[in-house]
Amino acid sequence: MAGTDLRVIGAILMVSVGVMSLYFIRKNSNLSWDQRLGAHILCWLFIAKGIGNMFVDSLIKDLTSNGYTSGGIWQFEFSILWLMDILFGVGMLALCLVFPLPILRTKKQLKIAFSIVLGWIIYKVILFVLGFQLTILELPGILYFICGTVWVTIYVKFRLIPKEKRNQSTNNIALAAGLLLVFHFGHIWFSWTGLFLRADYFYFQDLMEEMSHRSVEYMWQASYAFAIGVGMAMLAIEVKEMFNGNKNQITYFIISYFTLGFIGYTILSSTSIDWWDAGDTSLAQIWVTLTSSMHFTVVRPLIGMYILLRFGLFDTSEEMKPRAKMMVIILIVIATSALLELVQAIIPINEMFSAALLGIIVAFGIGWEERSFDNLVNSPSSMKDGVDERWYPEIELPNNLFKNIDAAVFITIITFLLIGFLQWRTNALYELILRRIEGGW
Amino acid sequence: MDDDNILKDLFADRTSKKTLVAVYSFVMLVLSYHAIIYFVVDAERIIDRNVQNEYTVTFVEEGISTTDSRVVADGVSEKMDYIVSEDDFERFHGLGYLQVVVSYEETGGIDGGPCDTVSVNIPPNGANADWQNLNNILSGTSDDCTDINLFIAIFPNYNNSEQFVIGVQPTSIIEQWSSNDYGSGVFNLNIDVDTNSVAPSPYPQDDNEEVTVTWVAHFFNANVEEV
Repeated sequence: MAGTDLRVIGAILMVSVGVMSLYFIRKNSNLSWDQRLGAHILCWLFIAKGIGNMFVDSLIKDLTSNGYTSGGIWQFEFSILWLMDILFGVGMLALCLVFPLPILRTKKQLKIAFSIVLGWIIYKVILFVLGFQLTILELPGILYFICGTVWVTIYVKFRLIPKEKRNQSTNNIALAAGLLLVFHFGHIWFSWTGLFLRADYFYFQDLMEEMSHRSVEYMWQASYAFAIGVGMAMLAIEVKEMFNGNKNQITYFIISYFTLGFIGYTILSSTSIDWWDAGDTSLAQIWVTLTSSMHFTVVRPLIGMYILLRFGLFDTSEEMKPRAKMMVIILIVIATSALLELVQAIIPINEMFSAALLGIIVAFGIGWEERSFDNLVNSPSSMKDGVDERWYPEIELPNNLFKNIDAAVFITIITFLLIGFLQWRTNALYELILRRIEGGW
Repeated sequence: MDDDNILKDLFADRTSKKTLVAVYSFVMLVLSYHAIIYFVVDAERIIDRNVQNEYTVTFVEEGISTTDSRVVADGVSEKMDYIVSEDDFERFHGLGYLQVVVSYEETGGIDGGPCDTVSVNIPPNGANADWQNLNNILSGTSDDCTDINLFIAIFPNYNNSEQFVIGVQPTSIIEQWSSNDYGSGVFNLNIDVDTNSVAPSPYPQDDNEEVTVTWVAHFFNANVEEV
């Protein structure tokens, strides 16, 4: 299996996490408005990103083999990838407004903020349809800046809260914010050494070659530099807290990511390899597959799953518990088989042996799941106990709001698929490429 | 304190304020460093990285012949096989197409007798080729001792003409035109002979014909040049 196949498995994993989680969240009537909203958004993020990622492999294959062809299906694949990414990016923006800590405190703030979110989606789609994608009008990377600023502020505030105010809930708020930063920025942290040592693999990053203007590429890279700055600040805080005997899951994540980023420099420094170069033919490609590509496809769904379980966003009543366990087992099997297939692609091992190994790993995984699942769902970690009430204001939301949100996002995805189809059939992207190659922006 | 404004809570105490300002300052420092490298130190290198993006692809072709002959009896269908040598695959990027020339002369019976009828066909299986290509000629018949020329397109889209490519790296272009798969396997040629004798027995009868088959495998190497 080529490393690129991992993306398809990752896409399936993401959509599975999203759909199954949505089922359990809809059943959970004990959530506060902010948790419910956050959980719904997280599920739809996975579904949208998963659908988009399903088309990445064939798009890369098309473009690297044939280039931009007139009438090519790459236009549909590119459109879906791009439109789903709009949904994902805007979803992350919406998520950071309410989870793990609602920064919106009144119904009025909520209405204004979500009107802006909705407006942003419409604006981006209009830009896309009119052929202004990958221009400065899109403010590329802006959502990284906003989400990063919100979450790092919450993370720093609660991770370094004075000892007399520190409790399990404050730790959990910092943990959730930190995990979301790992989720959102993790793949970028692998390239931190490249930023500081002026490596091609960082500075030659190109969003879409001819399609993207230099100003767009600068903005995009600046958002990466921002993410690395945030990550380094977190690394310093985590190292300090580790020496103070206050380490948590973020400590391991961030140290691992930055260490791998350091090692990666020795492998990637002589290349200008990009995320789409994941594969199994060279050491650099294998490295990209095992780091940033792995983050996109396997680590993100697992972090999302962990957040949903750990912070009690699932309905884990006795009636629902067996179904939730089944979901976790399905995800373990998908993730394990993806990993093993990947290993097999890099180090060819006998198929009988790998099948046996898969069985053993899944058995261990399920065994681990038995204990850890019970630990997670039986004692969901609160973010509200012992925390001043003003951090979690009560806002009355209509009962049917969340059903309406689900329906609206579903219709949006269908609409995006239709737009993608029209872009392909009208040859719109090909003509746009020609205009841009000729310098007509 | 205004409870509706989270910023006041986030920056309420002096320690938080100091730490957050330190974090923001550090991030701004990183952003400034990136901007200096991007716009000043490595600006030219970064601008130039996408300049070479248009290429022409040309092909250098070489034909390798293999000849075989077979005496085919009247009314009997004979089969000849052809396998492309692996050594030849190693020397080239790919096998473009295969030409098959079937030739024969009138022999047997009485000198000056009429030419036999020779029919040949290549079934579209057994080997990996572009069997659906419209230029393929997979069967032919001759009754005047002229050669029968067959043609099999092997490498999809190969026609030995210069191509113009944009948006693809040279290594990918070469990869696209490199494959040992196309042309692998066994090509089968079925030969049928229908002899024509000048006169019935007791005059000498023409009851077979020697058919010579020349397989010409046209290999190519792709060259990519920046426009």
